[in-house]
Amino acid sequence: MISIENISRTYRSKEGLIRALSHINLRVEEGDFISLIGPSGCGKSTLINMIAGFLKPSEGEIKLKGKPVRKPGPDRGVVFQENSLFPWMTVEENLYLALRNSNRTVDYYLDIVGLKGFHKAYPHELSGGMKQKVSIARTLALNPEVILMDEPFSSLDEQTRIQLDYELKEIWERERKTIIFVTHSIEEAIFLSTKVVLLTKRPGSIQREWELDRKKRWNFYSPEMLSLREEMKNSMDLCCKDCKL
Amino acid sequence: MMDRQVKDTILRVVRYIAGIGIIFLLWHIAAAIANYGREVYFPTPFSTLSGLMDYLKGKPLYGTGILNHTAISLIRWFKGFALAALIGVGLGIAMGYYQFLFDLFIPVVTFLQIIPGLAWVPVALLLFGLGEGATFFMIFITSLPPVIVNTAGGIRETPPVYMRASRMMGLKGMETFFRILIPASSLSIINGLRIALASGWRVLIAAEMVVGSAQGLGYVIIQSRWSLDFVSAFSVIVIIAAIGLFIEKVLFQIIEDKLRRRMGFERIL
Ligand SMILES: Nc1ncnc2c1ncn2[C@@H]1O[C@H](COP(=O)(O)OP(=O)(O)OP(=O)(O)O)[C@@H](O)[C@H]1O
Ligand SMILES: [Mg+2]
Repeated sequence: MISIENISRTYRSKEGLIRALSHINLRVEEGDFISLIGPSGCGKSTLINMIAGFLKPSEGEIKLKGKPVRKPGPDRGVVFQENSLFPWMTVEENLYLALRNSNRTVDYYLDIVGLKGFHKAYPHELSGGMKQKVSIARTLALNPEVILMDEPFSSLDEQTRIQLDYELKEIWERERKTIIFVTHSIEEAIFLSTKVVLLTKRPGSIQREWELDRKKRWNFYSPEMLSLREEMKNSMDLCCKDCKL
Repeated sequence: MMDRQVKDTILRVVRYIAGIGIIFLLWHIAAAIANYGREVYFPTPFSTLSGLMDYLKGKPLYGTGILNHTAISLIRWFKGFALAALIGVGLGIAMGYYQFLFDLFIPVVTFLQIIPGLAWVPVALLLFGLGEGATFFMIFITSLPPVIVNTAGGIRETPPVYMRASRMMGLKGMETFFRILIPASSLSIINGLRIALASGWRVLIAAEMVVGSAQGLGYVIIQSRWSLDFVSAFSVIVIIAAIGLFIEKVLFQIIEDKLRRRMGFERIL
């Protein structure tokens, strides 16, 4: 459904040219849950932003259902890392913006994320986790082809994050969405994904991919989770010893 | 919770009144010293307030009542300010959004900003001659830059993630402005209007003193100089200060507090 074809991206900065991504090839099929992991600064956000249309690739092309991506649009919903709800609008008004071309109701989407009854609340009246849930509801309300999430839960505490991981997985299964997800947590990637993609350090290229069983129920602290985690971690250490995830 | 808020507010008001008390005290001391063995009477707070009372009750003051002078000044002020606000917000938004307009106009705006209000007197007189046009021009030209600078700044400093979210949702053109950019920069815009109103007020009084307008608060002050009737001048100064304080500390404070709450900013403070 999405094909990322030989993408590279170079930034111009004061220190000269910085090559952030190099020759990325990736296919995403409908219903996939793809997680991108890799050392800090390897270009994960860059890739997400190019799929979203906020950035242009220096080389290569990204296609969504055969059509090249040129600019942002509601067919690619984004859940941002930082709070991106408009603080001057209530939850309901925030969702309305996304719902303009749909006949579903605000209720429907608030219910999906378990926030029924919060219509009239302002974002600052919600906890960090609730804000991200509204953000997810807003993205669902766009009814996009693909949902892009760049470290959506990284500012939350561990417990809340795991809670949201469970809920996200449920939503993904129920709503049959396609998701591309960036995270620093290998466990989170394993728990959620149908495929985990490991990028090398900058300039990021795909080092290894793991196809996972999409029906599997992972337990966060089970031995198989820990051993797969170990495998991924070792794989990353191969490319750089002191890289921090 | 509520109780504490009320208590805090009361405490703040009390301190504020005490602050005004200090002004009157200093004024009284200054008057006492100035009046020590001198011919011309330096009005004390009490004589000023009682003079002001007389004027408020209808005692004529250079042709008309003090309330009339005040109203005339207020209208002049508001006219100049309103036009500056309209043009300033419009131009500021455009400049904030389009980099090339910003680059094109910011030198002009900076230039206007540097020039003190009163320096416009010759320009105003040359363009409009003595009278209404000149005061209007001076208020307009001094109120305009702060509105533009703050509006453009607010738009430019809108967090990029808001723009990204808005583009992601497919908002277009005017919708982006009215639903995203303007609300996001509303505090900054209000701040610009506030500064504009204050500088407009200052230059208005000065303009009325210089560019000849047979009515208005500034006119009263300059007239009293010729007739040595300084109580009237001081009464007018009290009115000027009261109006300025009201606009600044009451009107704009209320607007800003409301906005802050609406925008969810009060948590940050
Ligand atoms: N606007 C920019 N100008 C110059 N260089 C940039 C810019 N944005 C990113 N980079 C560089 O590109 C590289 C990739 O950045 P990116 O934000 O995509 O990394 P990331 O994988 O998301 O990192 P993290 O895990 O820390 O979020 C970084 O090394 C950064 O230095
Ligand atoms: Mg990143």
